[in-house]
Amino acid sequence: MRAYLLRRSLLAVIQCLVVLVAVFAVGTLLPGDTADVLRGELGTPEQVAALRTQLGLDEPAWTRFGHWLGSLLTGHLGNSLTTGLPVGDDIGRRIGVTLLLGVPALVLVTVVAPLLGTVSGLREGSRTDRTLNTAAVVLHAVPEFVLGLLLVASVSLAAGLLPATAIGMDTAALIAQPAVLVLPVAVLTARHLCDLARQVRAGVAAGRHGPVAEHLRLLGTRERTVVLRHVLPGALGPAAQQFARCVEGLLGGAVLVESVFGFRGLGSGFVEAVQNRDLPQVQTYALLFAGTAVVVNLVGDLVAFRLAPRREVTA
Amino acid sequence: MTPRTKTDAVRTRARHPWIASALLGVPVLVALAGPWTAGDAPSAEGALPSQPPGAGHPLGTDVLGRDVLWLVLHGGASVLGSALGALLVGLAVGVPLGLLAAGPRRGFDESVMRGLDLLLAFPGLLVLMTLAATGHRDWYWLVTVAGILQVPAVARLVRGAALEPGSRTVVEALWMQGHGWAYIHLRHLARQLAAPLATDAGGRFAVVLYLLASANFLGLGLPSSSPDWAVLIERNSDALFTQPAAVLVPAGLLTALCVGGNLLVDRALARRRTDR
Repeated sequence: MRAYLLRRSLLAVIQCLVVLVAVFAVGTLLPGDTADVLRGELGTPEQVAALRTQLGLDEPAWTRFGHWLGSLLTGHLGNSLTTGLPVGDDIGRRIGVTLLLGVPALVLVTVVAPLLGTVSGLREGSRTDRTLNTAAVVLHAVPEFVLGLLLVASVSLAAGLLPATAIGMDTAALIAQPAVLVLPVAVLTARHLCDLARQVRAGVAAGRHGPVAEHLRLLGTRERTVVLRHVLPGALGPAAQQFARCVEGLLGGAVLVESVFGFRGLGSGFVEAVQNRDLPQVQTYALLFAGTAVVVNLVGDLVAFRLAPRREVTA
Repeated sequence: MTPRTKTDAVRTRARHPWIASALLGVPVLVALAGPWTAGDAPSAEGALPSQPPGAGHPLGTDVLGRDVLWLVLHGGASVLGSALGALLVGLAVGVPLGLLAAGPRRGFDESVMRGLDLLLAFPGLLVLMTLAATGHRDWYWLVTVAGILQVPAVARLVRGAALEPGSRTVVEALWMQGHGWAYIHLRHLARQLAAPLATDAGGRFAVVLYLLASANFLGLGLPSSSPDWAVLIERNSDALFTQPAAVLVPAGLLTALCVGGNLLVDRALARRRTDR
C-alpha cells in the first residue's frame, strides 16, 4: 500500500509540474499577445510596444515564469487584462454558481448510481435491467449541450414547466429560485450517472456469480450480507476511479451547461476568458480545472486501491 | 464463462439490432450524400432570418437567412470527417507506441507508459479551450489535439492486449521458428489486436465526436458561418422558440449519430464478452 501510495503521489506531483509549465508555456507561445488584442486594429505599433512594456510582456520567458510562479505561491493570481480587476475576485464571484450546479449533481451521481447499478446488476437480464441499460447507453451518448437544448425546447418552451435560462442571476438569486437549477443539474448529472451506474452494474453482475460469493453462500451467509459486504465493495473499487473521471467530466460539463443556460459560473467565465484571450484569466482557470482533475484522480486511484488492492491500475 | 451467463447476455442484447443501425445510418447517409444531393450553391440568398418552415424552405431559414435544409445536408461532413480524423490520429500514434511498449525493452515500456500517464492530467475540453485561447482555432489543430488526447488509452489497450500471457507464448514460439519482426507484428499481433481495437475504436469515436462537437458548440473551432451541425445548434439556439427546426434537426441528427454508435458498440462488447 505504502509503495503504491508513494508512487501514485509522485505521479500527481509531476503531473502538477507539467500542468504548471504547460499552462505558462501556452501564454508565451501564442502568436499575438494580449497587447495586440487589447489595442486591436486601432493601435499603432508604438502604442502596442508601450503597452507591452507596461504589462511586462517584453521580458524573457523564464523571468516571467519565475515571477508568475512566485506570485502564484503568494496567492496573487494577477489582474485580468481586459477588466484590470484581480482574477481571484472574478473567480470568487463565479465559484458559488458552479458549486450550486456541481454539488447537487455530484450528490445525485454518488447516491443514485450505486443504487441503480446494484438493482440492475442483481436482476441481470430482467426487463428492469434491460430498460435501465438501454437508457444509460442512450443518455450517455448525448452531448450535454444537445440534451440541454432538447430539454429546454420540450420542458420549458413546449410544456412551460421550468425556467429556461438563468441569465443575469447571481448566487443569491439562484438560491431564492431553485427551480432554475432543476434542468441544468439534470443535464449535468445524466451523462455521468449513466457511466457510473453501468460500471457498478457490471461489477455487481460479475461479482455475484464469482467464486467468493458462491463460497460464502455455501457457508450459509445471508444473501444480503454477501451482496452488501462482499459484492458491492468489489464493484465500487473500479467505480471509484470512474467516479474521479466523473468529477473531472463535471467540470467540462459545467462549461457546456453554463453556456446553454446562461449561468455566470466558472465554466462560462473560462469561455469568456478564452474569447477575450485574457491570458491571466485563462491560465488561472486552466490551473484550477487541471489541478482539480489531478487531485480528484489521485484520490480516486487511492480509494480504488484501498477497496480492491489487487487491481493496481495507475491513473 | 458458464453457459448460463451466455444465454442471459444474449437475451439481454439481441433485440432490434436494426434500431441502432438505423439511428447510425441516417446521419451517416445525410453526411455522406448530403453535399451531393443539395448542390453547391446555397439556395435563395437574402431570405428573412429565422423563418419557420414554409414555401421554398422545407425546414425554414437560420439566423442568417440561409436555408436550414441546405445547411443540414452540408453540415454532416465536417462532423463525421473531423471525428474520424481525430480517431485516426489517435490510432496512428497510439498503436505503434503500445506495440513498442509491449516489446522486449522494459525501460522503454516504463518511460512511455509513465509519460502517457502525465497526459491524463489534462481534461479534453480544457486543452481545446486553452488551445483556442492562444489563437490555434484551425480545424486541423482541433482534430490533431483531440486525437492525441486519445493516445494514452489506445496505447494502454494495445500494450495490454499484446502482453496477454497467451499471445506472448505464441510470439516467443514464432520468434524461435525464425519468423521476423514484421511477420510477428504485422500478421500475428494485428490479428490478435483487431477485435479489441475495433470495439474500442467505436467507443472512442463517440468520445471524440462528443469532444469536437462540444468545442464547436463553444465556438472554439470552426467559424460561426460553418454549416457544421454543432455550430448550427449554437447559432440558432437563441431562436429556439421562433424557429425550432433550425436547432432540433441538427440536434436530432447529432444525437442519432452518438446514440446509434454507442448502441452498436455496446452490442459488440456484449457479444465479445459472451464469445470468450
